[in-house]
Amino acid sequence: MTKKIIIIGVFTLLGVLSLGQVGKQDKKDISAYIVKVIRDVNMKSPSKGWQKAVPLSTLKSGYEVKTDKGSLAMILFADQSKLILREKSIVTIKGEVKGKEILSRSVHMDRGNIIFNVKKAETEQFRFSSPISVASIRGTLGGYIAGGNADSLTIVDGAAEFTNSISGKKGSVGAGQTGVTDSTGNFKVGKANALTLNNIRLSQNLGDIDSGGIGPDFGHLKSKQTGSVRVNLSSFQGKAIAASLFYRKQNVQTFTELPLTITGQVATGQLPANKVKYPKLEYYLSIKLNDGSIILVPEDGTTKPAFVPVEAVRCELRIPGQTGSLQKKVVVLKWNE
Amino acid sequence: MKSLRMKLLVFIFTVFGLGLWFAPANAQNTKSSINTTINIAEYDILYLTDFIDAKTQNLNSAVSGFSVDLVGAQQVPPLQIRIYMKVLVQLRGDAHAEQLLEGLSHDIPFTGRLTLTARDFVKAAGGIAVLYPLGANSNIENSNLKKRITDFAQTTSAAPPGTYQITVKALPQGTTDPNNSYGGDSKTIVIPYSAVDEVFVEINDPRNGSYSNNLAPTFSWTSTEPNVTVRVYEAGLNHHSPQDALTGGNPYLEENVVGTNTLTYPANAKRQLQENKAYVLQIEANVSSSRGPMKSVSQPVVFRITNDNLGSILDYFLNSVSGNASATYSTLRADPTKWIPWSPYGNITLNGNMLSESDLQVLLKELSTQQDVKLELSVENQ
Repeated sequence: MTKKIIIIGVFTLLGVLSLGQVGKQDKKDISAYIVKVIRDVNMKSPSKGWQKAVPLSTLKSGYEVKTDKGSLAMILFADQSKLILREKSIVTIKGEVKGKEILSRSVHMDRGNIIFNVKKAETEQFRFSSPISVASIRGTLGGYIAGGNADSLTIVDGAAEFTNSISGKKGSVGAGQTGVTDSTGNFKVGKANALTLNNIRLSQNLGDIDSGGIGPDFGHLKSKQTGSVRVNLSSFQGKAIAASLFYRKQNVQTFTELPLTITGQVATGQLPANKVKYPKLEYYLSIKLNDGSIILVPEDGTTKPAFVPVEAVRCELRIPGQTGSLQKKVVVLKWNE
Repeated sequence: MKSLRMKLLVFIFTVFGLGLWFAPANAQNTKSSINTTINIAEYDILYLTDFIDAKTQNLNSAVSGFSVDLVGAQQVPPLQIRIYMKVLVQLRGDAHAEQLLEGLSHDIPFTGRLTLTARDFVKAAGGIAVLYPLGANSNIENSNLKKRITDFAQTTSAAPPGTYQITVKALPQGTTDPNNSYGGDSKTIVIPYSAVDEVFVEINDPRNGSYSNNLAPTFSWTSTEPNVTVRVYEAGLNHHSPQDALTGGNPYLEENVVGTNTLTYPANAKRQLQENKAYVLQIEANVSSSRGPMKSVSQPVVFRITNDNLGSILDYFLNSVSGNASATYSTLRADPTKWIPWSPYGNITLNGNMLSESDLQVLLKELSTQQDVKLELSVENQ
């Protein structure tokens, strides 16, 4: 009987250990990409010094990103959560994922100004911290400023919990509110400045405008003429394993996929003439990386595609004809195509 | 009919130069029968100046086409007769006829056959049948009516349109009663026009600029003259107006038509109409005048043999688009322009490349699906 209990116990222990082992193997450092770089942005891994950040630089847990004066960086997470790091900011990104589940995610900022658009998750919270405050966010658009002696958290949409790390005072900051903490332990929540709210809204649209240098190069597209597309994938440092251009004519609902041929660091493809139509070609890029993730450029390209102007071809249709008094009159129809 | 008209005018002017004396008649006891015939050329337009000596305003003795034939039994010795003449005139617009002249000649010998010409009625030419008033207090002519006629002639040089009735009788010697005659003749002349442009001739069908794929179209017209000539000319590529076509070539068809106002293009015509060709139709009314035949022509009418498929395709497309292009095109297709695509003038091209009819259809169909396309339509004269 005792033997039986020991055996069962051993197997149970092995099973538990085995399960624990499997769980440990699935945990990975969170990763994100710098998808937009304006002027001087640098990044630093735990093992290396500062280096210039380029679009689609990969960030792992423990990486730091720094923006100089007049610079900006946009960081995109796999769940499409987005951070816009404004000038003179330094952040450290940390987090873990298990499969597709984000176990933890935090951004520590000693000093700086960050706009965030965090996708709502079931359990996980996005955590911002500074030496004097902590903000726990779930599905929110807002801004976080770490000023040294005082921090502020402004929420445009949703809500967040804001805590003064020194005094432990905390409270909820809702939409249209700003929470302020300072190094003396104060904490207060009030109505947000309208200008601040508006700036946050405008800032988070920056990412829609361009693709941070990895956008396709179409050259000069002319209506009804074969076009070519070329995508520089050097930013992916060899991690891009497939790329497709999804494109459509104006006023057409569905996109057509054009699989691109990757040669070295460049993906290329040919646009058929009958698909290139004045006045513009709408598109987005889909780039599959070797870790299985897929980057869309623009990130919401399926609903808000980028576009490239297509030069019109001036068409002239001439129809010779005769009037009832034998005069030769040519009807000329002209249009842009 | 026309000879009567001539005769009438001859008599009108005969009276201009006459001195009138009435000679007492010697009554003829035994009456003979004399067949009297007025010969006068018939004209639609009669130019008075051809019948009048401009200086004397007398009848021109050289006028041809007028005579009076008197035929009876042979008379030995000759029978003395006198010539009676009366002219009634009802000018166009007048309610009734008026007597223009009535006169009687001196006695002249008749041997059984006598022909009187214009010269015989002119005193200055030594005429034997110069007319004189019937009575001492009478005038040979109606001066008011004469003035109306001469005034009209001064502006048009032609006799005024109207009905002219001329009566000639052979009376016994010394007789003044026209009812007591050996015989006589009366002719009524209708002069319908004073100028050739009064002749009305107009084509009703086809309408100008119309088209049809019927290779044997029926033409119809309205004319005041029953005798017309129908001519059809081909409009060549170098013809820029119907007149170019009329003067530039031989008629495809030339057909005299009398008594009807329609003509179907004859199946046995030497030259048959062909598809994708334009033609010009003109109707010519033939008018007689004292100066010879004259013509009054209709306005030329262009008609085309085509099914106008291309035009239909364009109609369908351009009627469905919004904006100025549609309006401009509609105006071009309607009266009076009546434009149609005309392949003999050249090919349809898109950016210089030739398009077939089916290519055009495909192109327009595709264009019609592009709602944001802004069409500009212009018309170039060539």
